[in-house]
Amino acid sequence: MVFDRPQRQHALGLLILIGWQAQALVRSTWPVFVAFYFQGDRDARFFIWAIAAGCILTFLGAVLHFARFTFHLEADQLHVRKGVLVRDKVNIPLDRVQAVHVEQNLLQRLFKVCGLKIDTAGSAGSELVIHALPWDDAHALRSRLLQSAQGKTAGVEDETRPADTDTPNLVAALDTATLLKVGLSQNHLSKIGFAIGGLLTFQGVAWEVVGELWQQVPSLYRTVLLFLSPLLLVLSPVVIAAVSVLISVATSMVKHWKLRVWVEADEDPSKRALHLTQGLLNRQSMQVPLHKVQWVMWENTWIRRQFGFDTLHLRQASAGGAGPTTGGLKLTIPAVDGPPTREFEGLVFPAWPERRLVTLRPMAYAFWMRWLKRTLLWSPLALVAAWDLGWVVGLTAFGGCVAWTWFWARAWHRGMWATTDGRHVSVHRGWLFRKRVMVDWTKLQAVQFTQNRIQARRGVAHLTFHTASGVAVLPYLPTSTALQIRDLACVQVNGHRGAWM
Amino acid sequence: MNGLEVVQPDLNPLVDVASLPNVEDDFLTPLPRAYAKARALVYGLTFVVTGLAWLAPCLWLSMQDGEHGPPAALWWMLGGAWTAVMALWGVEERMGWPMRGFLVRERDVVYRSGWWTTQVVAVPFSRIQHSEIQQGPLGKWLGFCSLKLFTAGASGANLNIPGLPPETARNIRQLLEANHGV
Repeated sequence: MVFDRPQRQHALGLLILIGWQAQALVRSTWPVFVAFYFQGDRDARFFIWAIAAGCILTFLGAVLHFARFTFHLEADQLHVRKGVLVRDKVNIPLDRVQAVHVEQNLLQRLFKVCGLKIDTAGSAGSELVIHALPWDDAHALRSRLLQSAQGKTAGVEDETRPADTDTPNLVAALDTATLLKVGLSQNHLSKIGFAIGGLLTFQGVAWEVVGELWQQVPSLYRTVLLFLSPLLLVLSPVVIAAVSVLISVATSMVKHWKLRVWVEADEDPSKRALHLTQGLLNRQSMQVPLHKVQWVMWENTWIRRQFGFDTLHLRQASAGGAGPTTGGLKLTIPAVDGPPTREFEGLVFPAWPERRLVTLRPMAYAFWMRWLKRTLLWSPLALVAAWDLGWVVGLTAFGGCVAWTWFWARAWHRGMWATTDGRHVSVHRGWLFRKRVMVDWTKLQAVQFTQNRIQARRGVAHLTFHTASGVAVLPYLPTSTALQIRDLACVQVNGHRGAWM
Repeated sequence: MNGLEVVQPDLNPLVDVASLPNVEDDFLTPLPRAYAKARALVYGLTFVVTGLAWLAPCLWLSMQDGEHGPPAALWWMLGGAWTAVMALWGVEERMGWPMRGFLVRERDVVYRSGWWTTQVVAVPFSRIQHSEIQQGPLGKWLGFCSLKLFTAGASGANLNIPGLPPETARNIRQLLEANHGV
């Protein structure tokens, strides 16, 4: 497929655009529908006219948008013309393309087309979304767009190869058993809380429904149910928890179904790319040039440690912020155990470790401050206990509080450490929820040294390394060490001559 | 826990941590007095406006019968909070002024600020995506501007150097353009 002439997307794109526009229209005019519902028959025709006008406008808007949207490649730039009332001409230099995602939902799969999202670091969301392109064309376009990013000179890579377990350079693949573990080790507490909140909110309606159903139950079964009701009351939390776990397992299965991660091999590390495909209903295919990865995090919970795997997050540069829901590409691999971890380290940070590793631990001051702050936070509970139940109970509560916060601060302090080889830093944090963030100093955007007056007296300081997609923090270092590391990091950035984004 | 020791890399003799160029306090360029005046003006205006916002209803309520208004303790608490905030802000402004300063080196720019919590941010020139000079009405009147240096991403790495003389800001920008095309 040649992309050197302006072209439109596949005709199915019109259908998807109508869906998008209708969704946007409903989202912005939902009060009209609410008013229509409560209006009843009176003046209903006005609402019907308004809705009809909305539908016609949606259809016309989608058709015009579809007709105006063209794209083509010319002189190492992607040229896009779009817009109806306000006409835009967007030029995206190919070397600024950070990532290209290919997605395929059920409708797109039915018509053998897919959607394409192009990310640069220039805006919070995707710069460009093409809703429908034939599968082969989409992959060919992605290869062309990423040629510059990967330093290629010619040729379109065959992207349609099956990502099965026989794929060479396969780094990670999730089978059904692992997916089940991923689902079981999700955070179920939020779902349980949501379910309980929903029950409490709609309990009035629920009682009405239950009351109506109760009238329809034969008297014999009513007696049995009344007899069993205490058991139902006891079992209801278990049922809620089980349903939450089932939802987690189902969503994990649907999202990460047939997850495959493989590396496009090349002798030159700067030309290697990571490929990921996953999804049951919404099939995703992502390609990330490895040298564009800015920030890597491994995280796990107590449950995941029992299963022996981490969740791996890879981030590219983002303009929209470093938060979990904004900006840039965030590639997540939910179950990565020991050997793939080492493999990912080698792929993203090929020079690690460049020299002998140095371990950095926070000063004891960090522990004492944490203990003091947590004790001050929890001690009002002991005060309340002393006020209500007497000073013996109060003192016991205070002792328990001090012991608990001591254990907590000690575990937190022991879980916080970092290693560096003078070019990279790997920061470990956490106790129950453990995280490890790794960055390459040659890709840093800024280095921040922070110290308050008390810390200055105690000779303690924090260092924050800002990358284009996240931060790594080294807290409570001795001041002299923090200053040395800051200057070393600045030298690494300034001395770096290769591509970094 | 205290025994942090940086072991010198033994495979790369090119990097000697002790000899790295560091940011010495003496080299930081202080910001011009005009910017100090502007900050003092903003502080003074806020002091007066928020003080009146607390005092006026207080006086008005004291002239009423006093049965239906909020309790006096609430006003004293608000007044205490106002006094504490303004006092802390004043101390931070007074003591923090000598701490403010910037340093332009061959390959990066450094800005230091804050008295209670001191922050020193270093941004390499090669990472700056674009720059912006901003001058508000106060800056036009007193003769200063802000130089904003934007890096890639938004992890808080953008650097804002306020209170620069316009010619200094333009010079830094020219340096960026000459060396890095920003």
